[in-house]
Amino acid sequence: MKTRIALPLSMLGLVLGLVLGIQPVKAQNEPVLNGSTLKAEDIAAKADAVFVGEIIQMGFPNPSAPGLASYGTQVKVLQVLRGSVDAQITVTIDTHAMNREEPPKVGTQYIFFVKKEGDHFKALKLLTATDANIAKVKALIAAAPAPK
Amino acid sequence: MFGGGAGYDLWFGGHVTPLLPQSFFDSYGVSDISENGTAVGIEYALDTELAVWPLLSQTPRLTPGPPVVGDVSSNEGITIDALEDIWTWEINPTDTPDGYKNGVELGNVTYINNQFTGTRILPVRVNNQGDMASLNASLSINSYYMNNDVLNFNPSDISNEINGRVFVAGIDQVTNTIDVWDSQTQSIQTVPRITGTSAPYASLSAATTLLNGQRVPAIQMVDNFYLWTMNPATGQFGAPQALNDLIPSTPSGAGWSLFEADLGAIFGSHIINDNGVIAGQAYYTPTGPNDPIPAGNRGVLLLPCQFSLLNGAQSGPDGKDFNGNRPTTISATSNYASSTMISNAQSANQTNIIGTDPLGTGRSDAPFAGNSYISSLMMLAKVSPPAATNITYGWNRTYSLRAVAIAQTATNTWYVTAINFSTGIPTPKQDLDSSMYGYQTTVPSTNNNVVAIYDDPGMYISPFTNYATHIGDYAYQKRVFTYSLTNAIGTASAIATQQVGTYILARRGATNGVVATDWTGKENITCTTNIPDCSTVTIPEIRAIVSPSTNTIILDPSVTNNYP
Repeated sequence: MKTRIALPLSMLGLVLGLVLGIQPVKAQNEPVLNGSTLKAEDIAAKADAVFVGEIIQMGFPNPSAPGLASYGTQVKVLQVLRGSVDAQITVTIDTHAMNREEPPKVGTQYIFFVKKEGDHFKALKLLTATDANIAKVKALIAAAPAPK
Repeated sequence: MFGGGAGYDLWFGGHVTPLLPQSFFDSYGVSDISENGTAVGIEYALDTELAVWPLLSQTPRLTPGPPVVGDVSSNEGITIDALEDIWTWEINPTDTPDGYKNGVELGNVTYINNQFTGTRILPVRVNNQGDMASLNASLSINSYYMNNDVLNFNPSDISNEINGRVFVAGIDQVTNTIDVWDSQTQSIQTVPRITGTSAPYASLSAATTLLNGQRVPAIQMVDNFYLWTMNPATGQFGAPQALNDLIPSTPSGAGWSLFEADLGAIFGSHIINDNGVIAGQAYYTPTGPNDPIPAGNRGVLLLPCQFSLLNGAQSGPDGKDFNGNRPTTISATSNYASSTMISNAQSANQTNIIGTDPLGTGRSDAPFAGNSYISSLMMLAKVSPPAATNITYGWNRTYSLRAVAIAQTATNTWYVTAINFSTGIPTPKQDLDSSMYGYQTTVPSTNNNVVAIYDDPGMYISPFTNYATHIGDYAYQKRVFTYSLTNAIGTASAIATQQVGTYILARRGATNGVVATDWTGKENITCTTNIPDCSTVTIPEIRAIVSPSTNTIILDPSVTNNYP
């Protein structure tokens, strides 16, 4: 007599996923933001300042370099992780269509890695300001020397 | 901005800061740079020693010293031939003129090159083929020769030989003009000297360039801090350019502040040489305490670079051909075939043309797709030396922009409001991410030494819809791009720049909520002349747009704001 083994559907999915190399889906997808192809550990050493801030105003994007959209934004600085910035600053944020990057949203908080460019800052990379990301960036900054 | 035009019109400096110790410049100047445009050496003629310092490595190819036998004194001459033999001579009036080859005395300089008879034949310059400009300095005869041809002026330099053709530059001391003699035509072209200048005398640099498939001479001449370039197409020298203008000081008050390029001098103590490279020196002021380059004189190279804008025009200053030869990746029409570079930069939804795209086309990336008025362009730069050398080329681009909505009001006025873009005012905004897209080339093409960069800029119209709400209202944008070509020799870099202006105007014809059909393109100009002022807009500027309307124009204060 043959014995039939019934696998729960969820377990079947897990087995199939392991066989096909599919990774479990993250509980919460983070948006693809400016500097998505750059590693935070590399950018942390190059940024003039790193801070947590909230977008309070978005400028209109402007078509220039192919695939590039550039936004002028006003950012309220909430927590400086490294460097020195004013309480409210202007940051230009580029998004690259090839990387499917999306613009940040007004009222949302992000971790900004910025470089000073004349009268404004340019974002090198943005991360969503989750507790986990902030902790990770603090650790990176502690380990990396400030740019000369 | 440097001017454009056919031929070797444009130049940029490449400094070689880490390679030459300041002590070498403190007392002695650059005298020569040599060998087929590859910038292998700077040579020095000192009172008691010779040195040849290569530019592309840290090690001197010829060690300074030992002192040259015979002492080339204040009346010295020095030249290095194609075999790197060092020829020196002295004409101390109290002594018999002596000549030396690699420090070995040859006796009376009459015997150098052994092309003349008589006494006291003094070489002025020997080129790569052994051609010699010389002076018969016998007391009874004081005349000048180019090989066996008599020159009716005082030669200061000869070019390298190009297809059997040699050019000789010098001064006519009677008319006080610069004379350039062409061995092929046996004719002299006269160039007025800069007012108020005197000796030293002109120096020549000989190169070649392709013109309609033919390799022709491209000659540069330096005299007293000014540079002349011969148009290969006409054989005529253009207007002089001040060498100080060719080395920008960036930022103001720092960087290169003095350019002591080849002054040009008789007896070869300051000469320019070989295929379009000019050597000189400039004083460098550090940009700040962290600038690794210390203050002091440094060697400088001037390398030829010619910009050309492709904007779809077929005629006029911005639409002309590039020395008769476009890069092979671009056809001779405004509707060009896809090339590897362009197809990398564009997607299937984009219109594949250089020039103005139909409104709503030209970009496929959000949010611009369907909502913009685009005009694609390419900037080309013809460079020298070519890619075979150890010089690396690159691109950079910045822009400043001003955009305004011109809207009718109920009181029969035109109200002008700025649109809040990321504008680059007052600090120009970086507009390049070369790592992201393959829309530029930095290795000169093998057939004509051209590097290129593509762009598809334009006006994003959607934001105007909330400001220009009525049929008949306008969206207007002007922008200045600054294209920079960089080079690197070792660790140093330098740039030449070309500005490109754009003027874009669209008029609202409907209010259905679809940009491509609600708006009509009125103007989309890309140009290298009439570069716009993006700091503000003016009443006359707006009047020209709304004409023939005579309604009052009111500028909102925002039109002079410095947006992020």
